[in-house]
Amino acid sequence: MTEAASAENALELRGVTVRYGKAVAAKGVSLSVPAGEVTALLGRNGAGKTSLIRVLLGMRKAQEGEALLWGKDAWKHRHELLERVGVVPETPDAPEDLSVRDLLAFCSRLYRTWDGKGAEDRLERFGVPLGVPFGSLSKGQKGHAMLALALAHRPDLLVLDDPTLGLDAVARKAFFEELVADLADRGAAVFLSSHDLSGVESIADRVAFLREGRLLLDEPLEGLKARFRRLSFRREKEAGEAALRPLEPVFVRRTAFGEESVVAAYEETAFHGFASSPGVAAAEASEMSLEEIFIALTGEEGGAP
Amino acid sequence: MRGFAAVYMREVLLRKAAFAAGLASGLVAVLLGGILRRYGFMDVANLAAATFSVLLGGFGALAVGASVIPNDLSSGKIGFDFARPVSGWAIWAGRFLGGFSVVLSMAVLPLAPVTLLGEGLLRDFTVINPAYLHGIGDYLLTPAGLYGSAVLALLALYAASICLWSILRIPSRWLALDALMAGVLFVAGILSLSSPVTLHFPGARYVYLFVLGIVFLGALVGTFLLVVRGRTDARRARTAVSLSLGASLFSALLLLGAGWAYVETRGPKHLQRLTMGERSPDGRWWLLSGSHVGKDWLGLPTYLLDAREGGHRRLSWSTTGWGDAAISPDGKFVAFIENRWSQEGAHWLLTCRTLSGERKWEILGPADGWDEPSRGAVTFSPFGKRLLFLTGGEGQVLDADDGSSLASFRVGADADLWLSGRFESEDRVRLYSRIRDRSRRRPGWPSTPLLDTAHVDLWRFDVPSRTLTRTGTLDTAFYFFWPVPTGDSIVVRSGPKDARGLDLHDGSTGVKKVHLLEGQERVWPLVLADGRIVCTARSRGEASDVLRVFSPEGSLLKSIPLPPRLKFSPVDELAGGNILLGSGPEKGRISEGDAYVADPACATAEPIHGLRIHQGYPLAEGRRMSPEREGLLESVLLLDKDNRLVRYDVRSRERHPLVRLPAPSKTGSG
Repeated sequence: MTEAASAENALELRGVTVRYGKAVAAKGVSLSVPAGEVTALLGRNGAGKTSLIRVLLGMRKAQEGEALLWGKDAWKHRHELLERVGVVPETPDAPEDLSVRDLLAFCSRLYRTWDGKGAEDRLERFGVPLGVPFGSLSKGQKGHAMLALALAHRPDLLVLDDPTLGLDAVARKAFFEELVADLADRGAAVFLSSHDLSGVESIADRVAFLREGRLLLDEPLEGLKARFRRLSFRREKEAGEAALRPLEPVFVRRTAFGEESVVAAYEETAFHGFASSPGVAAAEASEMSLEEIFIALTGEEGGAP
Repeated sequence: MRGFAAVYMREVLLRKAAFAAGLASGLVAVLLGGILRRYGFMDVANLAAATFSVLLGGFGALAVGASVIPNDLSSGKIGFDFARPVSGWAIWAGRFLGGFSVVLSMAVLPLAPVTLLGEGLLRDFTVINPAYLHGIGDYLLTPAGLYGSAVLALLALYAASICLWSILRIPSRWLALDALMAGVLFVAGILSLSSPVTLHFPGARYVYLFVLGIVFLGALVGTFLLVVRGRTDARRARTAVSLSLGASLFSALLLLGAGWAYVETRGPKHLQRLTMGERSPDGRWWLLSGSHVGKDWLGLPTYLLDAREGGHRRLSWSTTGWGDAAISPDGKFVAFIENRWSQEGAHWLLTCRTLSGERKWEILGPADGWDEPSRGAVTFSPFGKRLLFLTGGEGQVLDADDGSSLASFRVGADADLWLSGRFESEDRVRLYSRIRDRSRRRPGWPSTPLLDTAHVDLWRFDVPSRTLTRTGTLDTAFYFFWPVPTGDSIVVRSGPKDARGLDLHDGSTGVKKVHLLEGQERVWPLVLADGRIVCTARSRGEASDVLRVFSPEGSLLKSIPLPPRLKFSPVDELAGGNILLGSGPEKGRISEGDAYVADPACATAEPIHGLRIHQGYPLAEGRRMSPEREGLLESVLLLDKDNRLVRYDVRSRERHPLVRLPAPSKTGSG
C-alpha cells in the first residue's frame, strides 16, 4: 500500500504480531480503518483485541509489523498522534479520587482543542454529576464520563475497547446512541472492540473477526451480512452436496427437523439450484444477525469462511 | 511540558486534602505551645511546639509517602495518561515530582504555622547564624539540615521504591512499610548513640550495634531466601526481596544515624581548635569551645565535657571562646550566651541550665542589631548569686536564680568598644572597656577592639547603688592584661614583638606601679589564685626561657631556667603549687611539645612525656577571678600524640583517655 493510501486510512495495522513471553496474542494481523468509517474488531475473550488496541495507541511496541495512524508510526509518534485520538478503555481507569470536573480540567490541558461545554452538556444528558469523585460513580456513569472525555477534543479517530462492558441494556443503548449522534455530526473514524454485537451492528460500517490472534475476516458489515445465510433443509443422505459447495458452508449439522447450515457465500441463484436438487426438500434461507455470524465463525463449529 | 505540568498538577490536586491536614497539624502545634504558655510552662512551650510540629511533619511525610507509592503505582492507573497525548517522560516525571511535592509539603507545612504565627518558635530549629557555618557538613549538622536531609533521604527512598516497583514489580507497600520502620530506627539510632544517652548509659551503643547486627543479618537471610526459594515460588521470592531490601535500608539508615551520633559523640572538627574554658570546682565538668587560630576567627560550638566519664554535650552552636559561658561556683549551673536570629534581626539568648541539661531560665534579647556574639560575656559572682552579663558596651547584673535584672549599666554603644569585666565581690563589678583604634589594624588581620586596642578605660559598678564610675585609663599599646584577683592590680604585657615588657598597674587608676620585665623576646604571664604572677620569658640573645615567679606586689620570688631550644608558656595552676607549662619548638607552636610541670618550690620543671597542651591559652581579663571559687587542679586535660583528650592526674601521674579529637588543622598558629 502506498503512503498516500495509508494516509487516507485513519488506522492501519500491517502484519502486527504481539507476544507475551511465549504466548502469542496476535499473529500477523493486517487491517485498516478508512477515515469516516466505523470498524468493529470482534473476537472472543483472549482473542487479542486489547493487545492490538494497545499497539495502535502506541502503548505497546509490536514484536513484528507496524501500527500506523494516518500513515505515521503509532509507537514513534504516539504523543503527536494521540492529539487526534479519543480513547475509551475496557475498564474506566481515570484516577478515582478526582472529581469529574477535575478530570475535565485535567484533560482540557492536554489537548489543543477542547469542547468543555459540549462535554459538560453530554454529561448532563447522561446524568453524570460533575462534583462527584470518579470512583464514586456507577459503572454506567463511568462509561459515559469516559466517552465524554474521549469526545471532548473532537477526535478524528475514536478507539473504544469494549466500552459497554458491564453496562446494563439501557446504558448500552444510550452509549451507542450518543456515539451515533456524534459520528453523524462529524464523521470521525471509529475503531471499536465490543462484545455487545447488537450495539455494534447498529453503528458499524465494517467488521473484523479475530480468533486466537489471527484475523478471520475484515470487510464491510453489509457485505458480510449479505453473504452469510442460515439454511434449513431436509435431504436424503448427502443429496445436493455438489450444489451446496458453491455457497461455502461454514458448517452443516443435524437438527430435530432435518439439517442446518451456515453459508458464507450466499447467492440467490446458487441457493435455488441447491433447493431444487434431487433429494433436497423444504430448503429455506434466513438472514443472520452479526451475533449469529460471529458465533458461527468463532464458536466451536466455526472456521475460516 | 504542557503534559508534564498537567500530570504534575493532577498529582498535587489529587491530594489537596493532605495540604490542609499539614497546615492544620501545624496549628495544633501552635495551640499546644499556647496552652503550655497559658498554664505557665514558659520554658518548655516553645520547644514543645517546635518539636511537635517537626514530629508531625516527619510523620506526615512518612505516612503520605507510604500512601502515595502503593496507591499510585500498584493500582495500574498509568494507562489513563498513556492513552492521552502526554509523552512518557512527562507522565513519569509529573507523577514522581507530584508525589514528591506532596511528601515534601507534608514535611514542611506543619512547621509553617509555628514559624509564622508562633513568633519564631522554631528558632532552635531553623535559625543558625550562617557566619558560623564553614561547610556543607556544618549545615547538615544543624537541626534544619538534619531534618532536611532526612526528608530528602525519604524522597530518595521513595524514588528507589518506585524504580524497583517499575523494574522488579516488588510490592511497593512493603517498601513503604520499610521506609516507615527505617525512619523510626533512624531516630532510635540517633537517640541511642547521642551524648546525653551514652553519658548516662554507656552500654547503649553496644545495644545499638547488636540491633544493627541483627538487622544486617536479616538482610542476608532475606537474600538467601531470594536465591534459594525464589526460583520455585514467585510470591515468596517477592516477599524475600522486600524483606531483604527493607533490611538493607534499615542498615543503611541505622549507619547514617550512627554516623551522625558518632560525630556528635566524638566532637566536630572545630574542636581541634580547642579552648579550655572554665571548669566546675570539683574538676569534673569543663567548658570547651573553639577558639581563634591565627587569622581565623571562629564562632564555634560550646561543649560541656565530663572529664570523669569522657562524654560531652553541646551547649550552643555559637561561641567564640571568649567568655560567653560560665559554670557557677557551686558547680551546679552553667550559663551561656549565644546568638539567635529572627526575621527582625539578631538577638542574644542568655540561658542558664543545670549541668545535667535542664533549663533553669533563659532571656531572649531584643533584635537591636547585636551582630557580634563575640562581644558578649557571662560571669558568676564569687558566691554564684549573681551573674554579670555583658553585650557590646552594655551590661546587666542578674539574679542567678531566676534571671531577673538587678541592675544595668551602659558604658557606651560604640562599635569600637569591647567590654569585659568581673565581680570583685557580690556587690561590686570591675569593668574594662577596650577602645579600638582602627588605624592600628595590621594587614591581613581582622579589625576588632581586642586586636586594635588604643586604650582601656577602667570602670567600677556598684550594684546596690547602681553607680557606674570610670576610675582610670590604661593607655599603652598592648593586647593583653590580667587582673590580679587578690589586690587592685593589673598585669599588663606591653611593647612590640621582641621587645616585650611586663608591668604591674594599679587596677583602679591604670597607673603603672611596678616594672616587672622589659626587652624580652616573648613574655607569657599567668596570675595565680593567691595573686602571685608567673611568667615565662626569654631575654634577647638567650637560648632558653626562664620561668619567673613574682609576688602580688611585683617582687621577684623565684627564677627557674627551662630546657633550652624550646619555648614555653604557663597554662594553669596545679595542686601543690605547681604550674602547668606548654612547650614547643622555637619555630613551632606552643602546643607541639610536651607539657611540663614546674615546681617553684624546688625550682624544677619536668616534662609529661607524650602529652601536650591544647591550642588555646588561658584567657585574660578576669575570667578566673576569685580565690573562693578557684579550685586548684588535681588533674588537667592534655592531648596525646593521637590527638586524644587525656585527663592527667597530677599527683598519681595516671592518664585517662577521654575523647579523641580530629587531627589538628595545618592552618593558624598556636
